[in-house]
Amino acid sequence: MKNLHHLTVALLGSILTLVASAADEKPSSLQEFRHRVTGLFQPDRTNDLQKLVAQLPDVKLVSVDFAASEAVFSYDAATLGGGKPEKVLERLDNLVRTASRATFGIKPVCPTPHDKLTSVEISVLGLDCKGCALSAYEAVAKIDGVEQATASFREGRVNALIDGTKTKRESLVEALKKARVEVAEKP
Amino acid sequence: MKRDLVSTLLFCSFGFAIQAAETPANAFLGKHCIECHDSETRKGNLDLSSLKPDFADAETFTRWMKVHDRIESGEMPPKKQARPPVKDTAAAVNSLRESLLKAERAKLAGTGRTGLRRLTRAEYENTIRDLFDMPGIALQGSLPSDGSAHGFDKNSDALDISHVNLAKYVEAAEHTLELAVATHPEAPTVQKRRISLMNRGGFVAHIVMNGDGVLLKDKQPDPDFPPAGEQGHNDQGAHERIGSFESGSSVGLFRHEDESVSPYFMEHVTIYPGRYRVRTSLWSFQWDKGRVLPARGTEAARLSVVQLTGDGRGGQHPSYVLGYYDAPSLESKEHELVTWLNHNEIIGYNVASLAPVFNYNRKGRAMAFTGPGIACDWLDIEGPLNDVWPPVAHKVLFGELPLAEFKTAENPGVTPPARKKVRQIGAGMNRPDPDKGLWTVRSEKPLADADRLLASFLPKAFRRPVATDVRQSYVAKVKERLNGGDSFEFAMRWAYRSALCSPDFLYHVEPAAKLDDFALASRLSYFFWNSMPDSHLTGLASSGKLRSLATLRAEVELMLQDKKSQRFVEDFLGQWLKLRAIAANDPDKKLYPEFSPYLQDSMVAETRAYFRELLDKNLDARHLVRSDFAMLNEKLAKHYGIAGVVGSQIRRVPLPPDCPRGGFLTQGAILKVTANGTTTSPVPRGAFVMDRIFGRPPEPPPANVAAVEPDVRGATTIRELLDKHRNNATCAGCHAKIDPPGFALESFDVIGGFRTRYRSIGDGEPAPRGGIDPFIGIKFTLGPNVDASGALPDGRTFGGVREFQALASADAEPLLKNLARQLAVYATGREVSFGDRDQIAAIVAATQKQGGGLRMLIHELARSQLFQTR
Repeated sequence: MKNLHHLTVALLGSILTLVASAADEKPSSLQEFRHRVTGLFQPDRTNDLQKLVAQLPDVKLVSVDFAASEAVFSYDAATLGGGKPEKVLERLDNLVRTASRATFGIKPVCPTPHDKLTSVEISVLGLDCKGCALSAYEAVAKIDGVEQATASFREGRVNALIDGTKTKRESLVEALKKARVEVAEKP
Repeated sequence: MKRDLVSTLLFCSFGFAIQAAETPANAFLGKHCIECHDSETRKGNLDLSSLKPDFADAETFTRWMKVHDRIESGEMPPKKQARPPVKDTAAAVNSLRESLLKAERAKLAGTGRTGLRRLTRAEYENTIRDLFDMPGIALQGSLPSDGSAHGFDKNSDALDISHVNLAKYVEAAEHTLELAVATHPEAPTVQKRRISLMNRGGFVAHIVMNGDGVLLKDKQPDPDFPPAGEQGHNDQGAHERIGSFESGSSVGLFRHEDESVSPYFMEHVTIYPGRYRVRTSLWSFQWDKGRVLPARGTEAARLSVVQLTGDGRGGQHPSYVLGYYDAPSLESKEHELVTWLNHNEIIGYNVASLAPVFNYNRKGRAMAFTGPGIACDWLDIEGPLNDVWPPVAHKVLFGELPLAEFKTAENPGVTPPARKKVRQIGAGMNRPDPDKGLWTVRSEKPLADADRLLASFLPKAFRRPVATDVRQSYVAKVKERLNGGDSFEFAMRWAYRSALCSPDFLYHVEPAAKLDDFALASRLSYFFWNSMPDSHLTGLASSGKLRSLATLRAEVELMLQDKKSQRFVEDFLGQWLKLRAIAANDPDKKLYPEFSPYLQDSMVAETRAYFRELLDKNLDARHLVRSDFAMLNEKLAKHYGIAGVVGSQIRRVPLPPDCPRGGFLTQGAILKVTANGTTTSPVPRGAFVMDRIFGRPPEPPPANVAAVEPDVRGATTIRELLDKHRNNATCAGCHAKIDPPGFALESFDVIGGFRTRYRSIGDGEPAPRGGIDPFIGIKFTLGPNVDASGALPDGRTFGGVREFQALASADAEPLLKNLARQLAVYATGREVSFGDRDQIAAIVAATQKQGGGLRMLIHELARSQLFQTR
């Protein structure tokens, strides 16, 4: 009797282990990819990104590196690209843009190492509002040469990493003013 | 003596002879009138010596009628002349009267008094609405305007018809059938949507971002959307995309609608016409530079219906008001209504009770603002609501015939029914149902079904039984269209459209003498409902029971209690008291900055509610000019200086003892329609009172007399300007009658506010604010004093409006008689003729015997021969 009990427990344990390992085991076609994410203009956007990707079929968010504006995604490239590897990133970007009303986007990882980029900080005045921060962020992020940016009116600044060969700080200031963001700097 | 004899001879020699021999009228006129009214003197432009006794001529008849009236009333001979013996006057009056009656009877013999008349625009629209149970279908605005005769558009003299009318009737019928016919096997999906005032693409988000409003959560500033202060919010699109306006926060607005801003709930744009349930939650607050505090009181927001333009970008005109809804202080109040919405209609919104303020781009914006606001928590819209499917409108046309999918292959030689594509425009998030194919009504025996369906439809539409041969002519139209390849649905629509454009539908069919029961049912329903009889009334007509006094009385009571009788109140007052002209002019913004659409709408609501109260409580005619109560909401009460009324709904309010209000004459709507937006004048107001209230319309002014120009600088009062005019002997006679009521009403300005001083935009004393909202700037000053005193033609004097009201209401009979006349013109579609006067007098006498109430007057009118004959 006691032996039968032990046997049953062992059998049950094996079954549970098999089930668990089956769950952990990725299908062989899923891989992880690291991409740059646009729209991570303030830390709580990480949560927004998680909620957003959770709604997308066939894509999982593995991790987010807010400081680098990058994230690791898990997906089957063949399925996502429809058999065209060159279309994978574009397709992922489309999915994310559509689901987020274009407040997030996916780009290739910045080719220039971050220590080779110039750090820019601009003091701004405005309302501590997510929508306003998005507006300020988008004003600078669309400039060619701006590789990464954040915006916070609570802290009163817009920060960016720029490629100095393509753009300069003054262009960002001008773009902010054009977007009707009050720049709190003396000329 | 010699002059009397000469005058009489002259008079007779010019052929004045009502009868071949000397008549009492002849003798009287020769003795008492010809001296002033001969060919030389022609006082009052009347030459009796040349006035022939040709009563068949309409103009001559009218002049003789005036002669009769002047003598009968004692106005002539003038008071300064010796009074004729009473029996001579009576004999003259009777003689004239007999001649006039004889001529009138001859003229009307065999023709009926009421001319052939078509439905008015309002009657047409209401009839279609009731026939098809489509209570909001909009047709009136697309039909040509009706005329007006004797004050009303229901008068046959006002209702001509042209090819333009016919073309518009065809379009209206087609539009009606398009809406009525079901084209899907199931009802459209009921969609329910909760919409924030900060909906996408709307004006409100833009102005709130710049300080004209705030977002509120749990009745405090929304922490995720700070109020605009030194900076405003940037980029509405970015905010919409990131969901800033989808948090379920309430939207608090400070800014009233204006030329730049029209708040709409854009996310529902009606696709399927029908009934929709609208619910909203409102509250008010005081905003103090970032803090939410208790409001100054209950505010009022307005919901309206606006039709979106074809490209979905903006609202067209006209829109109409759904109502004003209370927003209590810091307490969400829910309101619900079911309304009909047509294609492309949306719900509009306004913070109606707030004064116009602008924080937009001002320094500090909302964070520098202290003032009232109204918050909308949400608006729900649900529909279209259909209790049954296919709907009643479809069943009126096609009964219980089934709907089936039309397949071309199964219907060789038959043209598929045409359908309009359904789509959404603008920012509407409600969507059309997926296309389910082409569905139409199916008939296995088309001609038999056509006959059966038309047998049901035509009597309803024509408001009376329809002869078999008439019905068969419509069946023949169906057959013709079927033979031409039309589907059953379209062949029937051809016949139905013909019916809705036929004289049997468009005209009131009334026999020349006593109305038959169906014509009586129609006359009752177009009187009280401005529309066709319902099945109950038609049933009574069919059974021949309508005419019994007890039944008639009971039916009139039922009809007055039915909510459709509100159409009578609105249509009758719109014309009798000229409320249709309420928006004819805009009050001068500098002189009357406190004027608003909310005030105007409240004024109209007051007059309608007051008449309703007189009707429901059977109050007597003295209440037309004087009462101890008024029907007010808070807006009007404040405007009138009456304390203690809270909320936007009209209710009965007792008036303080010394209050100058009471009766129609002191109501804002009446005072506005009798002014020109800038100034008042005793002449038009006095003429209105004499004509509309007392039934003694003044003569029009002589052609070559210039109008009196008011002095808006305030240096001279209108009374002073008018005095030069009134003291002219030519003018004095008429003005002695016209001006007194106008003088009494000088106590009220162009928007019905009470005054003791005139407002001026020139030099004057600073004006106290009084009850004017603190946010409204005052640029006018106080000018001369108002003198509201006067004297009636009989010499009785009054010191102001209250004394005038007392004099005017002392004798109820003329008031009741005039109202009886006005109601008779409205209800019978013809003027009250000379011969009708006896009947009017009898109606009035019978009413007075039973207390003199207005409801009783209507009952007596309905049972009178005047009403029951054409």
